[in-house]
Amino acid sequence: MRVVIADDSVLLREGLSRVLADAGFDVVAQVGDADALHEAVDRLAPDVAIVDVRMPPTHTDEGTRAAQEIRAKHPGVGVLVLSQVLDSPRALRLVSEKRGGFGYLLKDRVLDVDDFVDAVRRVGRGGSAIDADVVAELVAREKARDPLDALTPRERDVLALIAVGHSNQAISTKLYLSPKTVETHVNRIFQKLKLAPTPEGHRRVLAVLAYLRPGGDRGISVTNP
Amino acid sequence: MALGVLSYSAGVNGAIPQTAPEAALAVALGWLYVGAGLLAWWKRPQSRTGLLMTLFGLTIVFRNFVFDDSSLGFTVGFLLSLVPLAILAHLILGYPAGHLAGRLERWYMGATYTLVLAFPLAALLFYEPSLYDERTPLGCDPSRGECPASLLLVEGNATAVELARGSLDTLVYLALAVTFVVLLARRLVRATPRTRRMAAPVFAIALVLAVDVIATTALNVRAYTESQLHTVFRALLQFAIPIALLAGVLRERLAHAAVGDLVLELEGKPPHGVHGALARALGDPTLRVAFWLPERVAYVDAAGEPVSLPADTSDQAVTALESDGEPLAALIHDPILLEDPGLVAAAGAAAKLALENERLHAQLRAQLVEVRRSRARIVATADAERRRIERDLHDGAQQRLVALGLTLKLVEQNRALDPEAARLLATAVQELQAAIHELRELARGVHPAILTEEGLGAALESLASRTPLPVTITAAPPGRLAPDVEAAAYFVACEGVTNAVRYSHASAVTIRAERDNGRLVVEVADDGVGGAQVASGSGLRGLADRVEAHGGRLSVESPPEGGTRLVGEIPCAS
Repeated sequence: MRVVIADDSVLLREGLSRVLADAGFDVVAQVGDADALHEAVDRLAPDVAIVDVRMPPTHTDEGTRAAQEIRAKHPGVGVLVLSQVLDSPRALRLVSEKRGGFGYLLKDRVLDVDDFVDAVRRVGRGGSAIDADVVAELVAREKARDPLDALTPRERDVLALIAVGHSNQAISTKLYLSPKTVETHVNRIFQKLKLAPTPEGHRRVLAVLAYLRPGGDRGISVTNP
Repeated sequence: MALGVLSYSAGVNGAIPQTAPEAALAVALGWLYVGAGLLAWWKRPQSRTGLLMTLFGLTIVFRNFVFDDSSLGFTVGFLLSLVPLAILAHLILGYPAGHLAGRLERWYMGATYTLVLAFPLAALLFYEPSLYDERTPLGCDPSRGECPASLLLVEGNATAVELARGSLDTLVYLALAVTFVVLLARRLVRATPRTRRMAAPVFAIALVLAVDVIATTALNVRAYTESQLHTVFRALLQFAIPIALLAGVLRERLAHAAVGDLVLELEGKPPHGVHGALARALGDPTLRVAFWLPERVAYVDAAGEPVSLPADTSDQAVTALESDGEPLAALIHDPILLEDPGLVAAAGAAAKLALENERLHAQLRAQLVEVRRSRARIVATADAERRRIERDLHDGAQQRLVALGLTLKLVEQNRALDPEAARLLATAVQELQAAIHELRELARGVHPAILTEEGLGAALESLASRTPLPVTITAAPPGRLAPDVEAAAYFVACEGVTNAVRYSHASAVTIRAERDNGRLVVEVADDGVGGAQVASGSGLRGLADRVEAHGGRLSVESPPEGGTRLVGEIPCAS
């Protein structure tokens, strides 16, 4: 799987590159800003672009904008955004219906090497990887609301893993459950939340996130630019 | 008086016909001007109006000698015959200041004086009365006696006289009269309100007179020109002008009387302060008062805002007022008031106590303005510093820690590593992750990045996301606001939510942030136990300081068992 890394910290870029190379990825380019990133993606057409949110010159949202542009221009390139700060609204805005893999992770997730490598791989295959903290915030926020109250603790665990972007197979491994049991849990969750049954993959993640999103489908008005 | 009698007798008895009433009228008009001119000159020595009026009167009297039998009287009288009209034009164009305001006016007057002397002079150079059998072009009737001769005769030439007295000159005078009307209209349009009010009667009469002159010279309607009506009308207008000029002077006297009223008015509380009372007493609605603040070595207005005095070249004048030898205030006013410096000084003296009193107020307000500004500056500096720290934490420390963690991870993967060392390394990486997490929380507390990057709406949403209570945002302003306004509003919302979570035992929180009439209103309401007070909680006190630094207000409604409602109102430019 071919990867492009965009981060203005050389030290971090090198570290990431080594970790991914060790895991069998082919790191085809390392760049330090958005312009170089666009150039590399246009030229190399990688499977995944790993993009730091803050890049020169202003260190604010260069990475976010670059990620959106790549997704619009190259639907086949999975984009994994790394952020220094936990910013759930931005993460949820970046997740869109558009085809193609997408991920949003806190930067220090790279230290959980196995999980991180797994996330890169999912994004490269067109799947999702949403930071567990983003999902946790959403679930915690919705805790006091009725439909989520109806979920058992185990079902809530499964819901969080779906939102992060894991497949049923991955969930069964993580929770030490049989694939059959996981499937049952998933069906029940969808029933309780009154969500239309959705096949595994990106669309399922979107459906769950849309549900959890503040004001998502609850008629709560959130005015937002 | 003797001169008048002489002039009168010359007119009545001379070879050139002049009726007794005409002669009397001319002499009376002349002396009226001389009298009014001397009076105006005495009252307002700075103004040239008085001098010009006196000169006008004298030239009218002298002019009448044109009717004398003597050659000297005739020559002088004829030479001066049109000078009074020129002086009158000068007087009116210069009124009320007495000097000509623009280059255009000065050029015009120069040309006028030259031409009204040049044509009679040219006529006199060639005028030989014996060449004529009937009434001469210069108005002498040989049948009534011998016509006086020109003392300046060079050579008798009837054609030259005809040219200088009857054809060319009419056109030139007409052009001068039309130009005069245009200049006068221009002055009237450009005049300051005070000047316009003062000069309006004079200008109105002058306009009518000018039109009458144009009508008689250009159209030359004989029926009107030679009628008694014209003579009477012209005389009335000529009389009206000195009366109007005198009225202007008298009005100034009335202005002095108004200063007396000013003292009485300031005894009470004038509706628009000492400034309004002064503007009324001096008849200058453009008047402004600037107070001198010795400690700041600068002038401020009544609200305490700095005032810069107009430059000498501007169209406003400044009169500085002193109290015990120290500067007290400056009056910025219409320069026309300077013609009567006694008036402004008198008004200033009358208003001294009131001005001193108001200066103290202005001083206090200026200090308040400064304190408020410095407070806002302190908060703005602190905010900027917080943003910088937040960025340094994320882009500096955090980046390095993550890179360090990655390096440790790579070492950990070395298979040759001693198991004990590998275990220690794994622990170190875990500690590092905890440190990074704490660092992130710390940075967010200092100043959330999302507020800087995405604005208030997103920051409130993020605040709602991480609050372990259901938080409903009913309204958030679209678009971006000034960073300090966003920060103040965000911290109000944070404080309200923190209070709801920690002390109120609330089950739900509502946040509303809306622009309303130039203010951003942030309201955080919970359904908890209530009982919060601004004075008690140091968090609320600090927040109130922050909001007030922006000229806003923070209020808390928190009745026992009635929930808590925290409302911040922050002015924001729309």
